[in-house]
Amino acid sequence: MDSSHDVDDSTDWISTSLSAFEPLEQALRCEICKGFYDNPVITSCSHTFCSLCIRRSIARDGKCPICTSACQADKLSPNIAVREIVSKFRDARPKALELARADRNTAEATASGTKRKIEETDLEDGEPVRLTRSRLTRSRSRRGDGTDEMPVVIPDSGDEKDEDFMPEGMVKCPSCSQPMKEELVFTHLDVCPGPGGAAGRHTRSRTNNAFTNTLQRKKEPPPPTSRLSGLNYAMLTESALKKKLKDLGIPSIGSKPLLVKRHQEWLNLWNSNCDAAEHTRKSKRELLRELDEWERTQGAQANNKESHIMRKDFDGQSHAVVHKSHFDDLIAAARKKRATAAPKEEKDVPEDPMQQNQEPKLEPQAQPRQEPQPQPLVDSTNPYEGNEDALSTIRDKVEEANRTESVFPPLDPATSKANYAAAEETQQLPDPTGFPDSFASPTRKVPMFSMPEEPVVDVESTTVQ
Amino acid sequence: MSTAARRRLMRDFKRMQTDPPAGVSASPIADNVMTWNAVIIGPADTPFEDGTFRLVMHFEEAYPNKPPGVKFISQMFHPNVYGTGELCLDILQNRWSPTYDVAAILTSIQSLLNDPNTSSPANVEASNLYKDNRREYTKRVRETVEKSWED
Repeated sequence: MDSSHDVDDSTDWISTSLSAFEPLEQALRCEICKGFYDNPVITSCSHTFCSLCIRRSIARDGKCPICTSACQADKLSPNIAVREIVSKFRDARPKALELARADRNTAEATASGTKRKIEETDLEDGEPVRLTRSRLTRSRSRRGDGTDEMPVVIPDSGDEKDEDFMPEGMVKCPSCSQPMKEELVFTHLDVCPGPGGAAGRHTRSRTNNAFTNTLQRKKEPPPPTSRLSGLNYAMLTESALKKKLKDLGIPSIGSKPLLVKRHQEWLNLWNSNCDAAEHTRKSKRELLRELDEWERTQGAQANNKESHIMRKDFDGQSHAVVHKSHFDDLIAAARKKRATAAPKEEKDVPEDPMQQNQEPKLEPQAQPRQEPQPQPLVDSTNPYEGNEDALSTIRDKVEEANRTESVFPPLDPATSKANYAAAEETQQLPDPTGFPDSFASPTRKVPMFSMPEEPVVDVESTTVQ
Repeated sequence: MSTAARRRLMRDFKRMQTDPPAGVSASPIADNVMTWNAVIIGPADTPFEDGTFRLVMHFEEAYPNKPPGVKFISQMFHPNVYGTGELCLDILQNRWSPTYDVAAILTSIQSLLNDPNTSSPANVEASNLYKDNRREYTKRVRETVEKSWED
């Protein structure tokens, strides 16, 4: 695997014959970083996250990101079973995905070759074939827009140090710096040729920068597992806090808010390392390097100026013009997805916790737009208004018309409604404003007080026959 | 340099491609993964139907622990969208959760279109029309929909 940004994701399974693995893999991923659980820990509300993810989140607002109940970092404990499952699943994943993709391809070939045969179907494997085919339609449309297996490559403005990026699950040998799977490091160390020996075999053209090498040359013992506890920052003066940071061996420059943030991040890094399995724990130097990365992106060296995009004077119009082709592509993609995704929308909506009742709400809003408020008819003559006798005569006539016209489904609401409407036109029924609500289905009102028993009897008699 | 925020954004991007929600679309701009352009198609059977509303999203290194800044750059007429295009949406402020991703943000905004919250309006005129004169509200919204096609 090269260092291109071809990230793995649970959605990789969607277009394979093992689409059921999509939710399975989803369950093995952290809700915060969306990666596989890394040092999973369980909260007091029984939710599991990567240790570092949840520690950073708690440091910010003290709540569980899923259920928003109060959460404390010192109540987290490693979820060892999940750690094991994730580790084994990740070992099995590449091969399984490869097979599932190949299977999809052969199934696709078969499906297009012997379409008739599948449709006529033989009972024994009819079901699985159908499942595969329904999935195929989706995957085919996906492939159509070319997004299927394209590696996602994005030039990144801050990318100058990208060589240090390791795909998830890969680590560098602390001695020869060769990238390898995390689990293999210890077996490899037994036969590792050391820093010199690696140079010859190194597949990358660059030689690792001196900084990393000096850091990693010496094999350090992993730090002890004692977790650091938080400080009551409000009670500490800046100089006292500085001293604490010095004692911990981390940089102590900057204002008090920055010192606090740095100390918090160090706690997150350190304590999450304590949640790791013993053989995967990082050395303090590695943790310091991670703190340095934080320093460059969010700490003292971070570029904290507000993005021009979020400023009040941001010129959206010219942004739209500059990025016109980008937006045009996005519009095309959104329309395409909308067209293809529309049938499965029903299934998707309940899955998304944030789509609150979108569907039902659409109805009442759509009404006024398509059928503007009825204009009260200016017909000033209301010969039947208040005249119950005349009204009931007309209703009887309508009923009669209903019965005589369509015998078979005599109570079909649509038909009777239409008939009623027709009768209304021909017989000059009273002005609709005479009713309390002109939209409240006059047909329904009629049966309430004047529908004769006969239609019901009719139905029964026909069914008896 | 690959930070947690950038890795997460790459995942969000991948998800937008392999399992896209209906009627929305987004991707990072060419030279910076921290800034995205997005499009929301107005949901069917609403006054916003078929509008092509453009947005920009800006992420910080603290993402996903900190919500991104999101604003419309298409002209909007909606009780919860300011004249500057900024949104007043709880999940982008005090109810943010780091479990949300780009797809979740955009589908929330999409459903906000037809389900405005008039209790704390960002656009008072739109809010009042929505409550008192739905016909005029719809008319004003349709104007922005038509404008969104011309951009």
